[in-house]
Amino acid sequence: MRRNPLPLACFAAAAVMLGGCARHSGDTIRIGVIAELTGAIPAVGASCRNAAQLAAKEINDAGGIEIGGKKKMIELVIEDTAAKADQAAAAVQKVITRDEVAAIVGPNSSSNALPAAEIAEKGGVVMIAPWSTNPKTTLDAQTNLPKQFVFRACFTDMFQGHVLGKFASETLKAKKAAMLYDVASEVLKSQSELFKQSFEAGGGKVVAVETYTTGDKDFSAQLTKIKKAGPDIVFLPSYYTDVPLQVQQAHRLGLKVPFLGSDAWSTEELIKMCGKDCDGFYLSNHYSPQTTNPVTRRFIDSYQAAYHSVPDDVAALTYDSFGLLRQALVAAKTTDRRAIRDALSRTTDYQGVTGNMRFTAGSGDPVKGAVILQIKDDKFVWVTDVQP
Amino acid sequence: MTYFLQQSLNALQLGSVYALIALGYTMVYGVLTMINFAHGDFFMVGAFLCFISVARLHLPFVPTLLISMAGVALLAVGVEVAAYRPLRNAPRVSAIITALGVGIFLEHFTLALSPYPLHIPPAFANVTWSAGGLAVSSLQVVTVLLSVGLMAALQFVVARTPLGIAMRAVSWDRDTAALLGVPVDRVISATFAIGGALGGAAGMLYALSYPVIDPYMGVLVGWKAFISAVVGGIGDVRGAMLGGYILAAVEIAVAVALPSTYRDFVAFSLLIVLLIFRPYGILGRPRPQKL
Amino acid sequence: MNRHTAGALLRDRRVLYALTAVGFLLSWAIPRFGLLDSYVQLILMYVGINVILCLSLNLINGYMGEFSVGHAGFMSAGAYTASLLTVRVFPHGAAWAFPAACLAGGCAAALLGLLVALPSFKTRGDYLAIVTLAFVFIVKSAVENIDAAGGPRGLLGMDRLTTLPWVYAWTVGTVFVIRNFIYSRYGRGVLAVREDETAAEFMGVDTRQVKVLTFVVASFFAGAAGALFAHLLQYISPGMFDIVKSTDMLVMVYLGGVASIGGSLLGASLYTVLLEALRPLAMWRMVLMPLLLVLLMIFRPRGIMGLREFPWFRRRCPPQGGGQPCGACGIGGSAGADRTDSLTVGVAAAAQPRPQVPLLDVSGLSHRFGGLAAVSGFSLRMSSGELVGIIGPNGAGKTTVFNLITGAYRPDEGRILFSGQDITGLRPGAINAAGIARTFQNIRLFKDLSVLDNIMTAHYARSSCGVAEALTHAGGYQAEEARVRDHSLELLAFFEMQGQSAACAGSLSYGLQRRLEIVRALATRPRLLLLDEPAAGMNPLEVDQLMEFIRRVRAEFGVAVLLIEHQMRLVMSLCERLEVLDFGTTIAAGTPAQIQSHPRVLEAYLGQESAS
Repeated sequence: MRRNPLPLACFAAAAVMLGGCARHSGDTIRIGVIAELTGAIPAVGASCRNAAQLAAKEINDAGGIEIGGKKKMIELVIEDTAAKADQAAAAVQKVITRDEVAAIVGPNSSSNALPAAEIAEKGGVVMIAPWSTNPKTTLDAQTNLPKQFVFRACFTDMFQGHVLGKFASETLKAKKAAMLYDVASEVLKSQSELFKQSFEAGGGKVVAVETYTTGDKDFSAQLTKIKKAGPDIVFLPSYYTDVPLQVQQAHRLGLKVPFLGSDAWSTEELIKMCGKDCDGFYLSNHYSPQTTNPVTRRFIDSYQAAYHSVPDDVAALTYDSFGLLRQALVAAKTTDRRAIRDALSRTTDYQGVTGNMRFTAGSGDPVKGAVILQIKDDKFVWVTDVQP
Repeated sequence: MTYFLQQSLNALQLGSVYALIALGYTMVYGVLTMINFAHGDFFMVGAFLCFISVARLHLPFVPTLLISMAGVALLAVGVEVAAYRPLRNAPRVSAIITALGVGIFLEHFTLALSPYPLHIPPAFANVTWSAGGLAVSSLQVVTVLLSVGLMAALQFVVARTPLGIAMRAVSWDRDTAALLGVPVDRVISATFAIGGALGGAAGMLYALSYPVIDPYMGVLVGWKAFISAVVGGIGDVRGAMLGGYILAAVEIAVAVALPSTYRDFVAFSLLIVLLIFRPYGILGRPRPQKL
Repeated sequence: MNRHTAGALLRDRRVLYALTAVGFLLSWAIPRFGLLDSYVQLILMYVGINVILCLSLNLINGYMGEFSVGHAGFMSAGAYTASLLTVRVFPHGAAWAFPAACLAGGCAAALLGLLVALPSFKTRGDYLAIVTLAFVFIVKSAVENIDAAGGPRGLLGMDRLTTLPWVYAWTVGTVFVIRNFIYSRYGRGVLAVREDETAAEFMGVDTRQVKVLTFVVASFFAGAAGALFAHLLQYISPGMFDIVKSTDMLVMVYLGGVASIGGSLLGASLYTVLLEALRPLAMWRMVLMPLLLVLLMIFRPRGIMGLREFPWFRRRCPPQGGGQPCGACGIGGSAGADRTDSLTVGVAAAAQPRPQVPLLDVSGLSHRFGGLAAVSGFSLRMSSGELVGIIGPNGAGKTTVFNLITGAYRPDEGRILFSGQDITGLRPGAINAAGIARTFQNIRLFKDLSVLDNIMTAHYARSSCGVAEALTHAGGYQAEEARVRDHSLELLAFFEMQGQSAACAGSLSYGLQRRLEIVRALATRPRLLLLDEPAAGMNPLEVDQLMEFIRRVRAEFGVAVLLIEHQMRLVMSLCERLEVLDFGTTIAAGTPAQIQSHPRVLEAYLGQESAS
């Protein structure tokens, strides 16, 4: 029988790959960046990685951070989750165990952040999720008490839904609203539910609820039904890639009421794709690219210079995550993971790109406001800030 | 009534695209008994070629169509020669897995070149006519007409031309066809070229109708096309067309009649029911078994 | 250590048991003492879960030869059932909660497996693939709509109950059960269904039972794997169990090698580890992986293991039957060639002649295919031990008569009595059980199985081994297997074929294949044997041997023989009487001598002029 060399070769290869030990950090401060570089949301991963690299460069160009009397540089360890939960968990475990990172930034989508948070919590390493708005990310799943090591840089869906509902009934004076959301996306679904709660608490009525599934491109059936129900506004918390299709199809069907969006709309790409169709619509967001705030302006200019596009909210929030970390590292003067955690939770005043942030007793959720923007003349125009 | 007509129009447009892609599947299946899982990704490449043609090269409609079709045809033949031909005599499943691999490769290669979704600017005049509450866009009309035209052309090729006869011969018995002098390799390459061209055309029409494209857009559409081809009867050209329209009709009908959360659930259950009553698809026939 | 001792070690079953025990110890010690870091432990657990998934999918796709893409749906069912139980129902911290939840997850998935098996009775191949595809979407959509299970938000709150020892235990258990299943009569049935489902039916294999069992066993383990997965990540959502997950599992199965336990172990391990090891490539990881896959498929189309199996998982050589790749052990084996008395005595005893009732009584048989009357008013009576021939021009309806008698179709009109029992319209398996066996015009052996396996498969219906015994190889299993094996070897020895018992059936010479098909039919202990053109394609010498063979079969086994033939020499010298068919009806009947000069027969064969 001819010997088949492959099985033996495979065993050998596997052994080699699994073997290997931790790399000691030595003279650098290692930060893990867990991003969805491939898979369902590569745009999010790309923005996150870009902002992380920009932030690290700026810190290093300024001389690094003083740790234990010496100035040390930031070293990024970037890992891909392929937008899959098991890969997110493996990536986080790897950077904790093998790369001995001091802290972790990412993942962004909640389906990745939730399992990653479990591992970070168990491993006692600070994890800041820039963009995950699911309230459960920073809470212990069984006790609902805050986790110790998991933070986020954005507001939660609870806050956002509340903000939007209030805005719709008080400012837009809408009485009847329709909703269209992705039934397979837990973020968008919960945003819709919270909006409905808030809107109806303010006296409005939701007259049509339609759904689609991730990947759908044709919404004519649902939009036709919405048109029939005759709403004053349509709440459309879709990702910016779907919004242009939905709005254009709606207009083609003769549905001309204003659309209201959430942070899922949040990038200038949306305006490019949607054009005149989206003019006049409102959305909530983490920051306003049109702001006059100098801190934000500087960030936008640097990002544009480096990557030739206006940063989206994922980029802005990732940049702020690094800012928070930097502040904590400076205060702690050590790369001890617990000390970093303590310093971070004591953040009382951080002037970020996405606004002012502080962490209150024990909670990993920052107290910060949201921004309402309007699309006008191909630009996001700031309308108002809503503080908690 | 207008509502019903409007939805029917939507179904017609979506169905045309599904049908075009399903045709590409069924052709390759008919000739090689191989499920080319990379076909959805060929479709995606067609959409990206359309983007390049419209947004970067600013070409008008017909050259864009030609570029999409020819580009994907070339890709399909290239993939066939490089990846599938070596497996011609291997177990069928090996070729299917290879096709999966090719598909994933195409997705991630495109991703590496362009991670952000791309928007195709409206370059061709898209007029919307309103007739008694019914909204019809010129793009919809072009999509349907072009699809039907391509399908008719394909039916003609398969039924009336020497190439078509050769394809059918190869699909029934490859070895005997070879023995009778049919240039099997060339016929198979031609099949892939035609299937690829159809997929490229579908990609372009889809991209123009839903102008936001990303590297993964072909995955779900690919599976839907596979379903369309099977529902209509694998290997049958008319069956693929029928299957595409039926699938689109079911999808839209279910979204209309039921809360949309149940759409997938009902659509796929209907599918299973259909296969229980017609286990070989609507127009398919089991290959006769001599006992 | 040279190659020789390595080979010997691989073959010694005790080495396998020892390694397994060491593995248990290690799986406990590693987390306890931190022998490997947390990252490696996590990856090892991923490997274990993937091995379970891969093995169970291999059962459906590899051994049964289907193309199921629905495995993610089973995994989802198991994950959700187990998670809901540990989070909402079972008391926290109870030691029995986790294993119970995993078992429950497996059972929930098995129930779904039962459902999915049902369409497989009628649908095969790519159409069944669509059913499994639809299944995945249906499960995903269903869970998304169940708010109590978290809907698309997913389910949280599971404790980290999955540990390395648990994963190891389940992996070992899966290998154990699936290997046992393969090397049982059900496993032979599965392989027969893959090779030639129709022939399997006619040889008495209950194909429905086999399909149900396969799906149920496979889905059970997929569900258990889902439960383990859920309690490792502590978070599940319906989107995690989509078609992409299914295709990942598919890739692992075919990468490793279908129908090979070792292949699944390797494929799953390699895939999982490679995915992690290529992390330094960042985004290009997912460009390289599929490229490697394509290259591997081109150069090794049958996967890493090809068609082979690790010797540990095989039966000991010389071949003693059951699912191993034929020809792998080399030619060998001999057993009880001197036990022929029991062989024939057993069969002859079963063939008690019952002079009052004719063995076969066919009356008024008619059947149409569309507008064509294939058979019209055919009648035949046979007694025990008779040797009757059916002849007639091509298209006369001879094989159709066989098909009607053996249950391939239900006749439009007519009645078929076998020893007084009405067998009209029964399924082929039931007719075979009653005592009729057949061969086919185009040989329908199980070509990729060994000669011995072909014979042993035919014992399916006469085996008393139950499912539990098959899965554990305990109880009466060993004795039953020995009995079947011995009987099969005796049969082969009786016809001087025991030397080829390990050879692939498809590699035999044409004449031997024909002979094997007849022996396989005999293994089902028939009282009436139907031979469809057994001499087709044979040269005069082979025809002589065949005649001798048939005579011997009839004499020693006491079976009646009804045969269809075109070779006049054989028919005239072998048959006691003949029925001549033309256009679906009997045009003449009688002894060979009578038929030879019968005018209508001459007319049918040679045309009008010769008759006069």
